[in-house]
Amino acid sequence: MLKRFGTALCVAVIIVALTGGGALAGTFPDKNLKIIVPFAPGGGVDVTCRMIAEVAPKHLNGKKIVVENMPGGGAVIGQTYVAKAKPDGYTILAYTSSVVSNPMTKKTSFTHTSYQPIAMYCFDPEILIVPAKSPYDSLKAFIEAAQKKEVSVATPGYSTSHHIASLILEDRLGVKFGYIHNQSAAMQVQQLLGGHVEAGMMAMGETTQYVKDGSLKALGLMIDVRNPDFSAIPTFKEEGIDLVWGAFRGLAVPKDTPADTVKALDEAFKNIVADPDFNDRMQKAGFPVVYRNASDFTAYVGVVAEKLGKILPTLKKQ
Amino acid sequence: MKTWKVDIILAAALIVISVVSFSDSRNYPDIASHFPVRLSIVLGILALVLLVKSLIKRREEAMFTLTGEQFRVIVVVVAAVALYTTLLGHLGYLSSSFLLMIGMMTILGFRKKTVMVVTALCTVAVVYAAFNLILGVPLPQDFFMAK
Amino acid sequence: MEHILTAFGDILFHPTVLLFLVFGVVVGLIVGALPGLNDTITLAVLIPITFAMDPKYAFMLLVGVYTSACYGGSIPAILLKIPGTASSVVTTLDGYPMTQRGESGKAIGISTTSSVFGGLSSSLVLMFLAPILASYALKFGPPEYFALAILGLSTVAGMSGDNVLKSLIVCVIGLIISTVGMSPQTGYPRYTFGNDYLLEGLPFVPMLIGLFGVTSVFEVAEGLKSRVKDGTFAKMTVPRIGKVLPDLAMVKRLLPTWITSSAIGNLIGVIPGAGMIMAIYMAYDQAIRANKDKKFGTGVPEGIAAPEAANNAVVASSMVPLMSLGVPGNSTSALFLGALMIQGLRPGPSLFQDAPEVAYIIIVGFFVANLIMGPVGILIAKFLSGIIFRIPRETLTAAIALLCVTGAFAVGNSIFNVWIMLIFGILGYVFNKLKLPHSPLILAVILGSMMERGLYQSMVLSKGSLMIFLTRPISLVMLAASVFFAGAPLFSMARNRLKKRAKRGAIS
Repeated sequence: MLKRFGTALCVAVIIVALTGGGALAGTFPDKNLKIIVPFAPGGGVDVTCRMIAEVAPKHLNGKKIVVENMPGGGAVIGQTYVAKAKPDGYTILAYTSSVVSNPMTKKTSFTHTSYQPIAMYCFDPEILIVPAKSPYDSLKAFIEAAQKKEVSVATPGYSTSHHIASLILEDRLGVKFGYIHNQSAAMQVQQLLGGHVEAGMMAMGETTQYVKDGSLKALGLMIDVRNPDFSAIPTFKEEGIDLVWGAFRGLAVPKDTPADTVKALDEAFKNIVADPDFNDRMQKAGFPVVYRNASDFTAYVGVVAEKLGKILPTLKKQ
Repeated sequence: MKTWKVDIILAAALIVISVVSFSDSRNYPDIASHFPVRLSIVLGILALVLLVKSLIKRREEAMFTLTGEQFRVIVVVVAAVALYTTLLGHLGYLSSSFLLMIGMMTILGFRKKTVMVVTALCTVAVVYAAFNLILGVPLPQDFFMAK
Repeated sequence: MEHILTAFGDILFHPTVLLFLVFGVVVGLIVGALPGLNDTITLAVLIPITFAMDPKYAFMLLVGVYTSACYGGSIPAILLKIPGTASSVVTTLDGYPMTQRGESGKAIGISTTSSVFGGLSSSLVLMFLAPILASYALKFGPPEYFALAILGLSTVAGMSGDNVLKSLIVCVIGLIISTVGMSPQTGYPRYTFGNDYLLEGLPFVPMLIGLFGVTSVFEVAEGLKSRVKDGTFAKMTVPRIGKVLPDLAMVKRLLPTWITSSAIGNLIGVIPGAGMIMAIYMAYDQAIRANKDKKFGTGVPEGIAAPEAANNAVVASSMVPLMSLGVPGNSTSALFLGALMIQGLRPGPSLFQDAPEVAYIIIVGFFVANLIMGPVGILIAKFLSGIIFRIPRETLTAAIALLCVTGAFAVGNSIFNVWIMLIFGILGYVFNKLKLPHSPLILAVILGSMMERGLYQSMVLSKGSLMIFLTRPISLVMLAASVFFAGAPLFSMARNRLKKRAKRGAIS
């Protein structure tokens, strides 16, 4: 009985497997797309990509986006995979700040120019945050303290965009921080909430709830003008530090992807990012949606890379 | 094999590991090297203690028994899995897994050919269904797999 | 309180909600029982499915899977000596010897009742003590994590029995393995030899699949070629699993173990990043200490009860920091964070105001899931042990090999993981041959980076002074406890030796 059931099942599976394939040539996309997330499931990049995948079929002739996690090597594994993938537009990389910083801090076979950016969908500005009981009530007080002694600053990990933000800040202020590098933003929050460190560099979206309920104090945001939703948080610019920084999240395909495919993707993701369902989810989960199209995003990444190049000596290649 | 002889081989292997590990980690910059260097030294010391202890005590009882035939079968199993891992990237999941099933059963001494093929097909199908079709876990692309 | 009662009502009187919970429990049991699949992978793949679902259904499904997966892992640990999930590696130590004696039913019964006990205890903790324990978790800063890692490692001494030297050696090897990859404070790649895959260290799950699953494949292969059919590989006539549930006398006997292990599990569970592995080893170690008259590793009921109560006690309590602080306690609760975000919710205290019905249904869900897990688990365990031993050994082993490679690949979506699995499979086999224990290796691999990170973070905070470990009370207590745990077995061993010598002296 069991054996017969098993045989039936495997025949069924084989039939499904055989008939599912075979796509017809035609307009792009004519089959499902794949977003490679170079991180483990559950993080900000993964979750936002899945939100994109959820609304995608509406804007891609009914084709789906499959999110595939390829963690490892500080995101190098997944990034390398896409850089080497067939440039047909079907393999997309979740393109984050680490694509720019990885080639500068590690030996990689790619640089940020190995990809053709398609769309940026999220920009989370950098925030300087301190425990609720911290003696520093303002950015000014923090800066003064940092100039006198070594303030401990928690980051979610070495060479993350948050670590880089602190390095840039160090450079601008001419100070030195004592770094507490963690493995995740979760441990960083734990250290801040528990008052074990004096300050932390994070993405604004990750801190909103703590700032709202007063368990952490926000000292400054690295943005141009105050955020209307958090008008109480000053910008670094107001203190005379012209510093705009943050974690960007976007999508990119391999460099040699044909121009018309890039155009089709650019168009499709413009609509996806504008989708109200997507915006609703992103907003509720605390990810600020900021859209840039393919050419603007490419230019933006260029600027980021240039900024990073300047502080490169501090993050020496190993 | 006699316990003391095995322990000497083990100690020698550990000393080699600790030397290799020490010479690699010595070159790491500052903080990065502290832990590995100290650990390599401790490992080396412990290995020396093991060496001395086994030489003094000379425990004669057998540590384990392994016949030539058994050793050969282990080597063949290791080779089979290694071959599978190599094939996985080229042939894809379904074909190489089918081959692994057939190979493993043959190595282990299963003799009924038809049963073997049917079992292999079914197991691969069920595992594939569970991981890829139901749970959506990506597996290496195969000629037989839906795109 | 009324929120809790409402949530109970929401689950128990809504058949669909209950159905999702039961379904989650069943799925969790099955993935837990399959070597290579675990709760983290399953939740990761389920999260996208929960998109379109009502949050109540979605979270019942996830809660069900999380609750039962680590219990499911104990089934193959007991029946085949292959832990289905990392959380049941310790269960193999006493579970499999019981199966060899033909007491698999009894072992499954102990594992079931212990899991339910541990699970219920932690769901009660989550329900009533979450805010208090969350503030306790916040007291853990870098020095405390360092001390905690030391405390965890000190249990190696207790478990090493008469072979302290070999345990120490294995422990140091594990610590060295834990340093592979980018150094936490400087990002420098250590022992990577230019391989990108090693930058984040050796992947843990493939390592375990190798140490247990692949090693067992080798051992079966060896056994099948053995001329002397010993009890292990000659067709094991496993009796039908008859009566499974332990009787009152057994419950009474196990009660102290359950209570201690659940307490350990809950305390470890609420500390973010500490994890199940540490809890099971500490619980097992405590069980050994409390039962000096029993020979652990030979099929002692307490040896199953301790880890199984402890790992399930970690489940709901690992949700404490997530629910009350928004900080996920481990990789699985991090996935809950993802699932909440997808639903447009942010965990933390605000969750109880923004969406109390979701917050409380998750909390109560853990309690109910544990109640469902018992009976469902026994049914599945009976079914599994019914077929497992009817399958020819060759076929079963080939199938296990396939599950191992598939699981190792699936964890990180990479073939490299399969190689790691194979290497550790060989290593595990060699370890068994040389009578080197696995446990110190696993513990050291898990705790090594916590220790190193904690040490160097503390040094940054204290500007290089080691006093920071002694001036902070929690750290001091834990360090003192580790000295005691590590010292006690050595002390008693030395005393025994002296006694033996004295006796010999008296005779001669």
